[in-house]
Amino acid sequence: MTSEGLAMTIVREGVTMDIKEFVCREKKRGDCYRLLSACFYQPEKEVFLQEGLFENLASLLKEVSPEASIFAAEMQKVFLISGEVDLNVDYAKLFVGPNELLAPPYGSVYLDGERRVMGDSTMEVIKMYEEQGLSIDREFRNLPDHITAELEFMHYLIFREIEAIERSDIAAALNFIKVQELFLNRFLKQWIQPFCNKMREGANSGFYRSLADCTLAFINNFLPGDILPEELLNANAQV
Amino acid sequence: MKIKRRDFLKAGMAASAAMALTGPSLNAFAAKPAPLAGEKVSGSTGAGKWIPSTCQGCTAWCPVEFFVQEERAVKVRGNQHSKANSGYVCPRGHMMLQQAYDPDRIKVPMKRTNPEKGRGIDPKFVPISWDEALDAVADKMMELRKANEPEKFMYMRGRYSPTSTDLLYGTLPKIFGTPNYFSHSAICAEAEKMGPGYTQGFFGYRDYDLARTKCLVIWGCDPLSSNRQVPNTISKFGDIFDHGAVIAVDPRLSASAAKASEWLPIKPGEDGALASAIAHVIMTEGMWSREFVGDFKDGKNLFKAGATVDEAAFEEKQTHGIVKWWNIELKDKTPAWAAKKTLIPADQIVRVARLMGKGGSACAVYMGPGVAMTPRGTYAAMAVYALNGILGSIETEGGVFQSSSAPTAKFPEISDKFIDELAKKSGKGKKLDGRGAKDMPAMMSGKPGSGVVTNNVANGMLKDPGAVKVFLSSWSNFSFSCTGAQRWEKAMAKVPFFVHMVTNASEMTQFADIVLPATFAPTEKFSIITNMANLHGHMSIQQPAGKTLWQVKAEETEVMWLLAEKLKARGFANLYDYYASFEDPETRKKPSNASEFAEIAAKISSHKVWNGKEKMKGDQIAGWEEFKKKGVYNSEIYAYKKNWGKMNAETKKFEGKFKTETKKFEFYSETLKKAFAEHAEKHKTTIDDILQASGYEARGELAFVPHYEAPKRWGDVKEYPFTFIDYKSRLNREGRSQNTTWYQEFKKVDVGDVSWEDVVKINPLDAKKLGLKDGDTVKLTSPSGSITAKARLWEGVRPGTIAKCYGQGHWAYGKVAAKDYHKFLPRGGNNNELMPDDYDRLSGSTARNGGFTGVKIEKI
Repeated sequence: MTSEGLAMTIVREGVTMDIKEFVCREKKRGDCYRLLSACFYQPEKEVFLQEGLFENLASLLKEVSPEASIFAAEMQKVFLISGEVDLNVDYAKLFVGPNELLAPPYGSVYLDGERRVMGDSTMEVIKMYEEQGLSIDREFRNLPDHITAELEFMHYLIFREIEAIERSDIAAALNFIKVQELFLNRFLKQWIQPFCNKMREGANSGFYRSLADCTLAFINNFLPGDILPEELLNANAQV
Repeated sequence: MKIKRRDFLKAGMAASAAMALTGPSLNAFAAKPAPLAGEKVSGSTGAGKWIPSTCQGCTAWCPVEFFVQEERAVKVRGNQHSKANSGYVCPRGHMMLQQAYDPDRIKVPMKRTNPEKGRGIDPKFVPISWDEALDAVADKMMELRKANEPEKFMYMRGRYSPTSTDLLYGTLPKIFGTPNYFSHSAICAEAEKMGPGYTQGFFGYRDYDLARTKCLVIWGCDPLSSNRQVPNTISKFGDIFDHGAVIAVDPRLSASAAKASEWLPIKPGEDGALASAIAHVIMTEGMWSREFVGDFKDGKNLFKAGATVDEAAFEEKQTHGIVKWWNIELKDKTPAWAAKKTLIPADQIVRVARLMGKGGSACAVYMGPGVAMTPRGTYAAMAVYALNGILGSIETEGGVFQSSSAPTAKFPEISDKFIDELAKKSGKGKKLDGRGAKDMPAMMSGKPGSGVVTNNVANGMLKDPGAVKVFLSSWSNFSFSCTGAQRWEKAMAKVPFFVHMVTNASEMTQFADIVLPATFAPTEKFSIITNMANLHGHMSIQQPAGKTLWQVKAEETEVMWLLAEKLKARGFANLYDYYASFEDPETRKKPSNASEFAEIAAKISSHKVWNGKEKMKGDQIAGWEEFKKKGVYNSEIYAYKKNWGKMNAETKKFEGKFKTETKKFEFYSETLKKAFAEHAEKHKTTIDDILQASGYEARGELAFVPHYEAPKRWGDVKEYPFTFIDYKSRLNREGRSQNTTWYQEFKKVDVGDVSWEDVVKINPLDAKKLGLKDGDTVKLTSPSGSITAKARLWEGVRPGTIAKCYGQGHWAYGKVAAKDYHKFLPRGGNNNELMPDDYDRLSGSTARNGGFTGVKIEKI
């Protein structure tokens, strides 16, 4: 999306916010992406509960995306009473296999018109990662357009955006918001709906059904740049 | 697929009261220096390069190249240096891309959490780490060693690398101590080998001088679609018509038959009758090769229908027993007799025999599994192959050849120090496949009890459910690919611990306790492949073309190394010590990890062709790096008449080179007679008793010559009126390509087939009688099972015969292959559930051709 496009979004919303408040909100938004990404890893009951993954997610979402928060609270509830094996069986069927994947967690399966991984869209995603100075960690052993990587990438962009604001580099901050919007519109938002639908249909446990709802609500309802502080809004208007 | 960085789960940015940030919390990413201005970053438009590897989608094992951009393979072609395929692949080669990037592939090791096993029972697999998976496998294996019963460990291989297989198939059972290791070979086309084996002493697959043949007789196969050298046949096929004829013998209008000068739609299983009649015509009309076979001493042809000939009247050259064969088998096998059996008109038999005679020693009879993989297939294979002998087209311009080879080097010998007393003792036990029993001579290579009886392993397991406690198998799917497939499901359900190393979760994987993700060999495995075509042998590399996906590992090298480490940690170090004794032929370095082991193994296998120390008669390759870059070594061209014998001028004795008892091409097989005698002796009985027990019709001298045996048929003609024939798709990658959309979309390239469907082809006259129209869903029932398919009205099979392609009918294997995996619903039906398990017992091969199954058709 061009900067004009971004400006239009901002003008349309026409809402401003104190910059400190904004940064605080962006931190929460960034964390939500990271914690949502964590939810798509293999469930480890002890680790997830010890870290309060779902509580944290629910409380962060409550402030930035209340409609998604309801589902996170539900996830917490179901996760507590679910057996680890059952959760893993469900996780495998949805995202790993070894038989038919119920909800392929790879962007290219949805975006490239053929049922395949490592499609052209995957290469475009890699390109965006590289432009932001990132590459897939060798230890990750999964594909670049896996849902966990794409959500984590959003977390990374928000982190850079906040970092830029903190050093008063407003142009850079605006650029990171722009990249977020571009990435969401070209990739993640293009496949998150059918992906979450498949998850909801295929899930055996309420945990993954709620995760599908939570992810969808968060990504669709909470957009980068929907609210900007005066400082960014003015700078954007000058672009 | 677990989170490796715990801080990724913590509250993070929002929790920090201060504005200052320390750094993003990352799990999937690593920071990479940002690109400089103008520097190119990754993306699909980047420059790429061709990386050589090898296709193993059929038995041609074509040297290929992948065009790789940004570590992703995007295009396929034949290796430009390859003499086997002249730089082209067949259609199935292209499908490697969809197989490699199939989202349904097995990505990580998994374990079963539901102890119940069976079709329709959810295994409830969960992901685990490689460490956990191999710990579980090693523990189970060590339990057997501790209980002094290592023979209860079984390994079965499906598709394999012809060199790396020695590291698993050839090593693990020996060092661990089990006789129970079996190859898939006998469900492929092994019975074919009995033709050249018991006539010419060559138990192998043949090559053909297609560029120079004047008459190509394609018999029981469709080399434009499958069978060992598809790209070579496609490229040379059209030119054959410029200098001769193509004859196709096939009950089905195959791609080759559709183009052939003559199509002989033989009644299934009657190939021996046609071969005997053609031989009869060639001999009565004097068209045999004087140079190869010899002649009557007075030059007068005494081969007259019905007349016995005096053996002394004929002087043979490179052959043995031509007159005996005539007297025992051929003299009464007239075209009129054969016409009744084969339903091929007598005048066409004569016409074809004359065409073949005209081609003479430049007439190649290209025999395929359709002739041989039948319950009495050995004799049909001998009868069809012997036609090459009469025509003298053995190793001649335009003729038939033994296989060329490339000079692989062996891995270090498995010396006694790696085989402990327990392994020695247990390794010599009786094999579970029943080979060598009185009724299962399995006399491959002239040795009774030496041939594998793959499909009989399931019967062995069912008979003795305690015989296999730990079962390891790679690149296999026996509960789909073996006839009588239902038996395998029953047998597998009883195996206490099954480990499956495959690329996709197939029907057999449903019974696995541990699933290990195998590399997709052509794009991810390091190995050396050897084969031959177009009169050249070749050695071809397999190497990663693009990034290896997920957590897959090469089953014959990397996984074996890791397993050896695990066994060593449990006090059994022999396997590890053997592997660790390997040395890089260039640097003398020993392997220290799994990937080094894989590369060193590949270097050992191939080093003769690139080390510069051995004088190669074929391509000259400067070193390992150049070999990896070129990807193929082509041997010198096969020398004509290489194995023809010569008269020794001094001794006045004929010195033959064929590996038969007489060193000659045997029309009367002394080699078979000897093998029979050995087997009969072992069982203290007569050869006739062996023949009876094994289900052959021949008795007495007939058993030693190529001859006609009536086809065996399961199912009464009244109840099961249709004769079922199975064939292979030009898109089948050994039954592994059905989960690709290209397979389904292009299925119509098989003559008479329909995209996205599984059709049974029925002659319109039969369809009319049954009230069927095109597209009706029908139930096919044989004595062993029922499947459903769509009816396809097609003139390419004669009335009474129905044809259906092998490959569809998966209820597992992925979203595309199965109609609904989660409901265990197949797309179409698996032919192997219709065909019962039966064998050509002389070779141990599974019957899957020759119309041995009767079927009834019902509209549903």
